[in-house]
Amino acid sequence: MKTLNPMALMLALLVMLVLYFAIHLVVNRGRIVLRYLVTAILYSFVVGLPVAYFSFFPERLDPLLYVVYYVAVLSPFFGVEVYRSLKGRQTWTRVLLNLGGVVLILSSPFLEAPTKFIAILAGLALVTAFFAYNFRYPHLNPMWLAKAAEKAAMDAGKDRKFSPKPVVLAVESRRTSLARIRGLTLIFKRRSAVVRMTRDFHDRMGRPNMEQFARKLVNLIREEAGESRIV
Amino acid sequence: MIDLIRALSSEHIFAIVDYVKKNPGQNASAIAAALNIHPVTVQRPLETLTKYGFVSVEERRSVGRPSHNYTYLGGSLTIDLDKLFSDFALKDRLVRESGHPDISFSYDVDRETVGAVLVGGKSGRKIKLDSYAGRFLWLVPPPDSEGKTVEQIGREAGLPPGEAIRAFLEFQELGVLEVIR
Repeated sequence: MKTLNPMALMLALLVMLVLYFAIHLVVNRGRIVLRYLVTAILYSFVVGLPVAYFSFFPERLDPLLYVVYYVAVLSPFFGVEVYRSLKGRQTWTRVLLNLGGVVLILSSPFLEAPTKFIAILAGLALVTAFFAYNFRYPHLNPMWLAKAAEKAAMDAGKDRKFSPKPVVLAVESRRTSLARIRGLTLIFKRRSAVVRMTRDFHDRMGRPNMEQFARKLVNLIREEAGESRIV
Repeated sequence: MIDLIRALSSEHIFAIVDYVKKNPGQNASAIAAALNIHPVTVQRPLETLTKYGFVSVEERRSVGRPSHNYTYLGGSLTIDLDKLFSDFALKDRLVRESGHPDISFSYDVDRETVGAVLVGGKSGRKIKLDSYAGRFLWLVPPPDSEGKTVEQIGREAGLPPGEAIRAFLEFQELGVLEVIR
């Protein structure tokens, strides 16, 4: 019977940790925020560990429990993603790349070689494409967006008034997309950008001028994405 | 006032009012079905007549969306032409949100419109907005911004100047907007 070498396990976990850190370092363009990184890595472990374990010990796999576990873990995240796409707030490409990749990788314990390896490779290819898509649109990465928001707030005045109504800027975008960090929601539509913030977020940023903040943030995103600035 | 004049000049206004007088307590869908016209064609002038007190509305709640049932009240109308024409000059006013802490909004990001203004916090007064006013308010710049003219906001919202001015006056009265110059 196969046993798991503790050293091998530690090494696998370390490789996974380093790999995840590297991915986030690249897609967030070197802007790492510890709070978001810890959440992302913890969630990755919750998703990644069972599939890795059952790939190594397929004889211990309880298919029903496995499926129930992953539906419970993934449905809140993908439920929100699918809802946003159904409402037209983001493209289906992003959701399908991520969901397709995850489903292919997670289905691997049920498959026999060589199909198993083909599924894993195809899944990894889709997940890589998902990260490439996120890299293309920098605001989709919470750590980059959090730092960009801080930078935008620095040049947008202090102690200004707040309104719970979103700021709407007339700006054309190539794709519809939605990005969210704590207290800030950013929606790029075809012809406008909607910047919604909570009072708490406005306070944390030093109560900037809302319009200037929104304009500077959108400009930072467009510059990073290689699109022209708005006036 | 311009909205009332518009409502009174709509193609189906006499048929709608005649039907409501003879059949009080009907909703827009029932009136539209009886007259063989679209419910929106019925609803918009009735909302305007309600606003000016010529028609009363009763909201009935059951399963699904609440039903608004209209009853004709009648009345007389005096038009102040001086005020009507001087209001038109308001299109050049530069406005922005007031940022009053007691005012909040209920809005729909997908439809890009504000549905209601809440004055006095969550337990305060809720003022529902029609589609024109909701669209106008959605595009009003935030507090401390450079502002936009009423005409510019109206144009971006796809509203005729008269509707933009009406919305501006309504929001100024509520304290939602402030005039920069």
